[in-house]
Amino acid sequence: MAQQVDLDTFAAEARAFLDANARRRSGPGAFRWGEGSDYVGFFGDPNADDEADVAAARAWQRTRYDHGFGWITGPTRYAGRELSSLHDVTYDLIEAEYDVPDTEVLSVIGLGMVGPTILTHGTDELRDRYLPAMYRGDVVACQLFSEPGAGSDLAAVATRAVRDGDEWVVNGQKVWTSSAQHAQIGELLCRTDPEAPKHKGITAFVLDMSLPGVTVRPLRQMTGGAEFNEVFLDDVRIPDSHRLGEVNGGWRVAVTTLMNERSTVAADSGGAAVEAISPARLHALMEHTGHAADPVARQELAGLAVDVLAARALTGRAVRRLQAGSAPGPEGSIAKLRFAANLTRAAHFAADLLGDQVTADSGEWGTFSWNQLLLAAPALRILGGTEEIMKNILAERVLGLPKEPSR
Amino acid sequence: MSATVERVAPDEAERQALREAVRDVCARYAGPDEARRLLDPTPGGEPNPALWRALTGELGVAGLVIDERFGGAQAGWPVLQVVLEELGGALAATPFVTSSVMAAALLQAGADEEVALDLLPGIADGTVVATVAVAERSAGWDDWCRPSAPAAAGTHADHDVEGWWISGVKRAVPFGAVADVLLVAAETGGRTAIFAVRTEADGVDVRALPTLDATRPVADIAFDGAPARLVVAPGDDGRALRRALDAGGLAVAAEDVGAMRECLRISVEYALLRTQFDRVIGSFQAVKHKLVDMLVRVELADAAVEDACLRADADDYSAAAVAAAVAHACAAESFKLVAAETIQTHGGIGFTWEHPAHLYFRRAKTSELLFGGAARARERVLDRLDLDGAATARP
Repeated sequence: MAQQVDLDTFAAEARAFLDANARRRSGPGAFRWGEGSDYVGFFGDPNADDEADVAAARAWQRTRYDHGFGWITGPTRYAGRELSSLHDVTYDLIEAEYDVPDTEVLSVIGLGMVGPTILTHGTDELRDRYLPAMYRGDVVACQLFSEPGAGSDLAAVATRAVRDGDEWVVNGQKVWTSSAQHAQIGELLCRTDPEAPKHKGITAFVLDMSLPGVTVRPLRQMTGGAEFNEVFLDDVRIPDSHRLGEVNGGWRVAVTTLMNERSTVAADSGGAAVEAISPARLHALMEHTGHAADPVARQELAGLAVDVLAARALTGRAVRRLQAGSAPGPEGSIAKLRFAANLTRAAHFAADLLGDQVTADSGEWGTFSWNQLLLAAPALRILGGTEEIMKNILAERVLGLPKEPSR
Repeated sequence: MSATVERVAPDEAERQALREAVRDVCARYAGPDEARRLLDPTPGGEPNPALWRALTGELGVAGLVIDERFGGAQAGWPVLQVVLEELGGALAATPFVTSSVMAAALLQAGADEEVALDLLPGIADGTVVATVAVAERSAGWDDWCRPSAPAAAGTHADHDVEGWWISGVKRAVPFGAVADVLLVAAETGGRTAIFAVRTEADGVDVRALPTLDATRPVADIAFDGAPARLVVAPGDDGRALRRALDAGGLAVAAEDVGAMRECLRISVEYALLRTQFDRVIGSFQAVKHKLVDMLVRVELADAAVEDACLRADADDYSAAAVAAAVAHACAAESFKLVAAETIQTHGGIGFTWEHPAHLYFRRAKTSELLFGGAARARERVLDRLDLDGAATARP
């Protein structure tokens, strides 16, 4: 067992680490018109150097790991600290005050979802092999769940895995796989018993992405960039030692992963998008476009500011509840729904302010670039669970309403 | 460490005990039947005075946000929040917000010490009911919250060796007909000052008005040379009124959260009970999603109110003022949606006089229109954020 560290001591330790290894931001949300990148979007800046960003993310994760902040809640056996989620949140809040590389490519899927799943369902061999490497920043993991025919109805996955001695032979196609182009491993769901009811015929594996038969093809999305991939699996031979959980017990494994998803999406959907919907940033745009005194624009900004600040208060409430030792409430799911709504509203408000400068590139800094946010916004209502599915879950789990009767 | 993590909620068991005590009092003297009774202008159709007596005498909650040196309990906003939520949930018709919160905030923010020592102990124990008379037909709350008096000010004060007197007309003063003391904003020498006027004094004419939401009665009050006592001298830059306004907005928001929770509770209960097409209507996605939309608004407003209450007692008033304005605007908009969808979820029965849905709808609409209305409330958020003052944006 690791030694328990009280929050204040831990916070001081985190600050000392960050002071020594990173630069403090001049002020959160500090923004000056015309300075720096004018990219405004949810997905990566298409003009950015992807490879360099991934290298920077890995290097920063390695630094965290070397100083005991690589896996704050993880077991000591895998170089974790065995501290509480509150210590984790505390670290995130403190790190947000510093200018450090964005580690989303590692953290959202791999460290936030796949890592905890391997820890819960993996054999000792799999844990020893992958967990330290993941939290050290060496291994990027992706999630091979969605298929062309299995979106909201994830249990309908059709990718087949057929046992052949100590191996499984896999054939099928996955889609909407983030970071597959950077990943060394993927958490894969396959159909192993087509005769069983759909939830009972699925098996989960850790897929080594370098195996023969794995083809990753970028999927260009409506923003013009390609953040996602299609992954084709042709006679891929996975050793049985890379199975996660029981044969045909893959649905339980998937649920473990998805349980970690919603909070991750809401907490980590940071960066340029969060900055873009801050009232200060939008007000700067109003000033620049000559709408600072326009009562219609002011009303819209104020309405948006209320929703953005209320959503922030909701996250604060979740942290306090965690601190008080109570179980997490619906805050994660609600925060995700509201983030999508606020982002969409902000994107269209910015477009209203910019007028033809968002539909035609005048070359001016900070204008046409908003179309990236405008085009990204629809994705937020779909990824990480569509709004409709999330509302069903909230209705059933929080309000106690019955499930849709099955046909 | 960020401020979000440092702020710790007050003792939960204590708050829960208080919540149950207030709920018990409300079960006796408030609730939908009482709110409906008040809508019919019958003899004795005034709010039940037993509610106020129980809240102040039995529970002693009138002085929760009044300093101990003025006879209050100084328990803080997170404790007050619990009382307000219960009052809102029960549609309680009581001058609690106007007297125990707004008048208390105004007097503590800017009153002359001697006047505060004189008035606050009575407000803290509930023997004195005070209200705040600010808005007029041509000058609203925000006009009065400025350093100089509004150009269109219709209430004026003057004095001689005998003392001050005021003349003018105040519009829709909350609980004006049951208050003992009115805290009145008036123009004098081009600036705003606040005066205490007894409702029973000569030259004060109180006319109660029929209201959309009978649990929030108002009165037009005309002053004709009424004797007045100077409470806040001219030249405080509108600070005392702004504090009263922010406190009032937050208090109403907390009441709204309690009311919204009740709306959601009865709507979910009905959706689980009502059967159509051989299914409970709560199993239809169209209804489920509607109820989740309501849940989302309730949780957002609740979080905004909790955040503002935790900040309200702190020293950083600018952060507290932003949070209070956000809570008010968020709760008003949320309650409007939740109350309307409560009627919709209930279908025809929700449109009847006997069903409580319209009582919440009336209150939601009134909440939204308090202190100048929703657009003003939103503009106040920008004002408190102070975005215009900065050449470059600030956090």
